[in-house]
Amino acid sequence: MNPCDPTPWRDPQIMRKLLDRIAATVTRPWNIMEVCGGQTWTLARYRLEELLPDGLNMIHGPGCPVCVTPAETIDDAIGLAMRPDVIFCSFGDMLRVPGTDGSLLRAKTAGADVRLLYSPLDTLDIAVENPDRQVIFFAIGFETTTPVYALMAEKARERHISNLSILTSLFTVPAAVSAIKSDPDCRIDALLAAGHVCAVTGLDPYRQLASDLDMPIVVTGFEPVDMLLGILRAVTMLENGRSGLSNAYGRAVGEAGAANARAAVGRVFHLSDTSWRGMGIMPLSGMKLRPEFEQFDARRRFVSDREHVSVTNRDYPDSCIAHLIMKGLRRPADCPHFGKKCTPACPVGAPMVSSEGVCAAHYRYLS
Amino acid sequence: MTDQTKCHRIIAFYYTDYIMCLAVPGKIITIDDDGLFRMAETDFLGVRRRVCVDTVDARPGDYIIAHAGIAISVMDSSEAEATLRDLNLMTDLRDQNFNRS
Repeated sequence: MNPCDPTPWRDPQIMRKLLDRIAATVTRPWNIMEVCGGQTWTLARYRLEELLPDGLNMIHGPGCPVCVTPAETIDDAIGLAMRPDVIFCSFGDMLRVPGTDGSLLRAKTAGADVRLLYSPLDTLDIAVENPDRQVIFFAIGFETTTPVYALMAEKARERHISNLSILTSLFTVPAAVSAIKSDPDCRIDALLAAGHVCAVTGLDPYRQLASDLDMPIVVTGFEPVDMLLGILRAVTMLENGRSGLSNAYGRAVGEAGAANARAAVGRVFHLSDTSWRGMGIMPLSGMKLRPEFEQFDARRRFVSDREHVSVTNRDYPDSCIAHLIMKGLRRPADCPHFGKKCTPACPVGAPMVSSEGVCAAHYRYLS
Repeated sequence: MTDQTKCHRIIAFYYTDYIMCLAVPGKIITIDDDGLFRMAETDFLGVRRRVCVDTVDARPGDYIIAHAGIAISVMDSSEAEATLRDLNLMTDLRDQNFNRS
């Protein structure tokens, strides 16, 4: 079997050995944050947190784009989707995310032409096949997803496809981690960096972040063995009083990352202050289209300027505590709605929507 | 099971097919040019998908990590093998050489 195949990375024997070592290494309580929804899912799916020694806590950070896209942006998406001249395309997980009033799924049932795609690149064909319609893709994501939008925009410009645009909600990890780490209520001792984000960015930004925050950061994969190896490296560094970067996902993450993908992102997007659902605006924590690509900015083309409304109230109605959960200040089970009024079938807060959202993962595997 | 629950299960099943983070490695079978991009016919644990490989230097037989329809990493088999060997050899809890950070 090829060693890149997932199977050996789910080996219970290796997991048991890693757990033993973690237990033998830890001498005091530590808080480790994983910042990717995929890793949150693995922790819940394999119930790894219950196997960790007492006092070793995992904090589930805000690394699921479905969870951090502001309600205001969902409202814009619904508004665009309801236009008769628009074909609105999206990843499936965005359809049930609640906006201020309703969701894209409700818009679809009300007759909006909302289409689910595997890849944003498919919009190029849809735009060519429907020259009299406006094709808009709901471009959400972190550093892993931004390259595909860059390829799409460059190809659309090269082919003079004018009826294609994107509604962006793009985030970057380091700024958000810095913001959370500097929150006085927060107690994060180490970070598991999302392996696939690092596969794009390379290791340098995280080396810098580890130095700036004086904290251990371990680049970690997504299989259960990967997660336990990342946790072991993190607690070993913590117990030895060391900070810095360690790569526990060498088979997928090289030093330089995906340079071609990053170059495309640099040509099409620039860093900008960005609003996170329930957390407000964080400086330079997201990406926007460069002025030379503004023709592909659906917000600029179709959404009229309006007053910026207080973010938190719209994002989390009905005393939902999702923003506190993603900062590690509360657990999903602390929420009065968890599993009652708020379930994956009928979500109140965004983290109950996507399978990678912390509340949905806990609901499905831990309750 | 109520009709509403059944309905929600069907919807949930349907949408899991369209979630954005496909974090499993796939093996490239063939690569061709579709007029827009260099595309790889890729096997993800038995499921075939076409993935754009303009962003990486990949050949048939390589394992890639794909995300939202593009490859973001070509996996390093020898690195994977070395890590697995270390993990399999790991027996003694006191062995400090293991953590090569």
